[in-house]
Amino acid sequence: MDEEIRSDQLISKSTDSGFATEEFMVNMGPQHPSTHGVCRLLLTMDGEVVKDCQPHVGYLHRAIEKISENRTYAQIIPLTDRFEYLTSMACNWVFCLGGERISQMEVPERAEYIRVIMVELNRIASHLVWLGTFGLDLGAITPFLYCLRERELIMDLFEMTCGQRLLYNYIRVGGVSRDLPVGFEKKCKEFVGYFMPLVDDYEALLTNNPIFLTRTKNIGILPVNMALNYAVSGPVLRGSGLKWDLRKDDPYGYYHKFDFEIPTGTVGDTWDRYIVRINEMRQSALIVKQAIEGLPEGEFRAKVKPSFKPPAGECYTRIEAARGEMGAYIVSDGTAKPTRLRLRGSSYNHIMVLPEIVKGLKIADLVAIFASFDAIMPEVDR
Amino acid sequence: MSDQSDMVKSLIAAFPGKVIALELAPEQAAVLVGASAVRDFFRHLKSDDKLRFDYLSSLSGVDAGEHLEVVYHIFSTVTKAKLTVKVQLPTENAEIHSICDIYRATDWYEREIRELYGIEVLNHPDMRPLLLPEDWDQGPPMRKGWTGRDFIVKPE
Amino acid sequence: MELCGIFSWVGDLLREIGLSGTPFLIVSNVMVAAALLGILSLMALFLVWWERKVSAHIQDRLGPMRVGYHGALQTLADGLKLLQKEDITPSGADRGVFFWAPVITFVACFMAYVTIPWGEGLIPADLNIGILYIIAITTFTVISLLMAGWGSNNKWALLGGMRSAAQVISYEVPLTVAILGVIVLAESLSMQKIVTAQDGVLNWFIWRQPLGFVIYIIAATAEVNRTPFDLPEAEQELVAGFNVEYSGMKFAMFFLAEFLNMFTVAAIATTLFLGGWNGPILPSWLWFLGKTLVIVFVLMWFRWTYPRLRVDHLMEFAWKWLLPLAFLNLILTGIGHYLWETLFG
Repeated sequence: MDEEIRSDQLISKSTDSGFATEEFMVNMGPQHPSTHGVCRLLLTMDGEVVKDCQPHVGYLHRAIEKISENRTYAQIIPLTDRFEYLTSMACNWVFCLGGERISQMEVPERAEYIRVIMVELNRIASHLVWLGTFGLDLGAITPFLYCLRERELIMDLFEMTCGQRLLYNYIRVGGVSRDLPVGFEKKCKEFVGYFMPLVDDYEALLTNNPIFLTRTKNIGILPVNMALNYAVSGPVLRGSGLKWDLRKDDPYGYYHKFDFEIPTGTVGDTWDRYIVRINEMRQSALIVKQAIEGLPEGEFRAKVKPSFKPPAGECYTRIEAARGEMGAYIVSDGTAKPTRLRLRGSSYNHIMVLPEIVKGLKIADLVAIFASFDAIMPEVDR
Repeated sequence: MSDQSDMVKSLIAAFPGKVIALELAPEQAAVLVGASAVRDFFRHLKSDDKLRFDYLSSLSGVDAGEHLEVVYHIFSTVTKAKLTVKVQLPTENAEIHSICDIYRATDWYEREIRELYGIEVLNHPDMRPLLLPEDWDQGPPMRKGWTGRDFIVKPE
Repeated sequence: MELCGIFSWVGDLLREIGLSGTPFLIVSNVMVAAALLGILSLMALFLVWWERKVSAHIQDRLGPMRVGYHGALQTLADGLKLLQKEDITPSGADRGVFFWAPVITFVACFMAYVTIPWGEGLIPADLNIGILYIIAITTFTVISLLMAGWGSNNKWALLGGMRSAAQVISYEVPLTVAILGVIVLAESLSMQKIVTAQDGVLNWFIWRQPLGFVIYIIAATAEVNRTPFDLPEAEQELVAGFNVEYSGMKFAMFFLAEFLNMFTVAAIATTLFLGGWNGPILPSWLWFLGKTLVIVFVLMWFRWTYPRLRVDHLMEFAWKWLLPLAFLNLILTGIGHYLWETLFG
C-alpha cells in the first residue's frame, strides 16, 4: 500500500505569503462522509488551501469485466446493475443495446416506450439523491429528507413493476423482462403531476439563498475545452456550456418521439451544474408524462431464445445516463458469452479532471465541487 | 454512411501503409493503425479542420487470442462523426505510445490497460496501478487463461 | 455576602443552624451551585430532545417516539449509553490536553450561569460587572476547542480546532459591541439592572436596538458554532471536526456544552433585548424560560434551513459587515441616548 503518512511529514515549506508555512498531506477518504463512495483523495494542503489532489481509486474494483467473460448475456445484466447502482436501468439498457445492435434485433415499440419511462424515472431518482447529498455536503440538511420522500414514490413504482427498489435487472435484450403491471399508468401519472411543482420547492430552499450562492457561484469552473479533452460528459459538460446530450446528438431508443429541452449552463461553475440537474429533473418528468400518455399496446419483448447467441461482431453503444455518457463495448465471438465486455462510466473521467480544477481552492470548495460532479465510485472502479 | 467511408478513405490516404480500413459492421467506421503511427494519427484526428475529433470516449484492451488489441472509440462533438481505432500488438512485450498529452482522457485508461493487460505504455507520466493494489504480483488479470489464487472459473 | 432573593431563606436556615462567616459562605454557595447544576443538566436533556423533535418536524418526519412519551426519555437513554462507553484516548494524543479539553468546555459553560437572571431574585450572584463577566467566561471555549483539536493528534481535528478558534474570536468582537449598545441604554453592566430597566413591553430594548439585536443573534449563532456557522463540526468536510476523536463521556461533555451554550446566548438575548423575566401574571421564571426557548427555537430553525458558510466568507462577514454595523449601532445609540437624556431628562 502507499507509504504511511506520518503526521509530522512535511511536503515542503511554502513561503507564498511572506510567512514560512508548511504544507501537509491529508487523507480524505476512503471512508468519509462526503466523498461519495470509497474514493481516497490525497490532499496536499497549505492551511485551508488545497495545493494538490491525487485521487486513489480501485477500492470498489469487483472485476465485473473479467467475470462477464464467463457469463451469458442474461447473467451479465444483474452485474451491470451494480455498475452504477443509482441508475441501474440505464446500465441494463446500454448493455442490452449492444447485444441488440450486434444481432440487429428489432425491439417492439411498447418495450421502447417502457424503457424510456423507466430510465427517465431512474434519472429523476438519481438526481434526487444527488440533490439531497449536495445540500448535505454544503450543510443544508433538510433538502435531503424532502428528496428522499419523493424518491420513495419512484421506488414504489419500480417495486410494482419488477419487484426491486434499487437494482432492477429489468431491461433485457430485446425488450423488458415483464410488462407494466395493472395500475402502473395511473400511479405514474399521479406521480408526475405531484412531482412537477415540488422541484420548485427544492429550488426555493437553495437556488436563491445567498449562502448557497456564495458557496457555488464561480467555484470550480471547468472550461469547455478542458472538459472535452478529459471526455467529461453529462450535466458536467452541459454545465460548462456545451449543449451535448446523447439523447438528441447520438439518438437511441425512441427519444426522437418526445419533446424535451436540454438545459445548459454558461460558465461551468458549481452553480451551473446544480441548475442543469434541477432543470433536467423537470424535463425528465415531462418525458415520462409524454411517454405514459402515448404508451402503445404491443409486445414487451422481442422473441429471443433463452440461450441468446449473437453473431460474431462488436459494438460500442453509449447512452445518456444520469451522470453522463455510459458506454458498453461488447466483442462477441458468436457464442452465448461475450469475449470482452468493457463498461465505460462517466464518473471515471470526472474524477480524473477533479485535480485540475481544485488546485488553489479551499477544502470546503473541494467538497462542493466533488458533490456537484455527482461521481459514483462503482462506475469508476467497476 | 458515405461520409463515414469518405472519412476513412481520407485517413488511409493521409497515412499510407499505416492505416487500413476494417469492416466491423455496416455504418461503423473503423480503422486499424500500426503501433508506430499511433501518436501522429491521433494528432491528425484532433487538429485536422475537417475531422475535429475532440472526444475520446473509451480506450479498451482486448485479448484476441493470438494478439492483443487496444481499441479507441473516438467521437466528434462538432461533426457527430464516430470512429473506432484499433491497434494490434503482439502478446509478448506489447508496447504502445501514450497519447495522454493529446487526449487527457486517456491518462487513467492507459494506466488501466497496463495493469490489467500488461501492455507497456511509453512516455506516460504516471504508471502507478490504478485499480489493482500496489503489491499485485499475479500478472495481468484480464488476459485470457489467467488464473489467480482466488479466481475460480465456473464449470460449464 | 448576602444571597439574593429566594436564596435568602437558605441563608436564614443556615444561620439558624449556627453557621456563619466562611463555613456559611462555602455551604450556601455549594448548595446554590448544586441546584444550578441540576437545573442545567435537566435543561440540556430537554434541549437535546427538543432539537431532535424540531429538526424532525421540519424534515417531515417524527423524531424519537419510543422511549417515553414521544421520546421524552430518549436523551436520558443516550446519556446512560454514553456513560458506559469505553474511554478511548488515541495513541499519540497529548493525554493531559486531551483530557482537560472537555472539562474546561463544560466548566466554562457552567460558570457563565452565575449571573444569568432566571427570574425576580433568582440569580446566583448579581455581580455588578454581570454581562462583562459572561463575555469573558464564554471566551474560554476557544481555549478548549484548540486543546481538543491539538490534543487529538489528528489533522482533521486540528483543522477544525483552528477554524473554530478563528471563528469564535472573530465573532466575539461584533457580539461585544452589540451588547455595548444595550449597556449604554441601561447605564449598567449588572444583569438585574438591565432587566429592571425594561419594565413593560414597550420598554424592551429590542425596539430601541433592532440592529443590535440582529447583530447579536448572528454573532451568537457563530459563537456557539451552529449552522450556518458550524464549520468546526462540519461533518461532511472534517468528519465532526475538533471532536472527531472523542467518544463516550468526553463526547457527551462537548455535546451537552454545545446545547447549554445555545441556551446561554439565548438567555443573554432575552435578558438584554426581550425584557428578561418581566411579564404580567405568570411567575417571572416562566416568562424567562418562555422567551429564552423561543430564541432557542429560532436558532434551531436556522440550523435546519440554511447551508453552511465557507470559512473565508465567515471571516469576511464578521470583519467587513457585522463589525462596522455594530460600531455604527453603538455610535448612534450613544448619541441618541445622550440627546434623549438631555432633552427629556
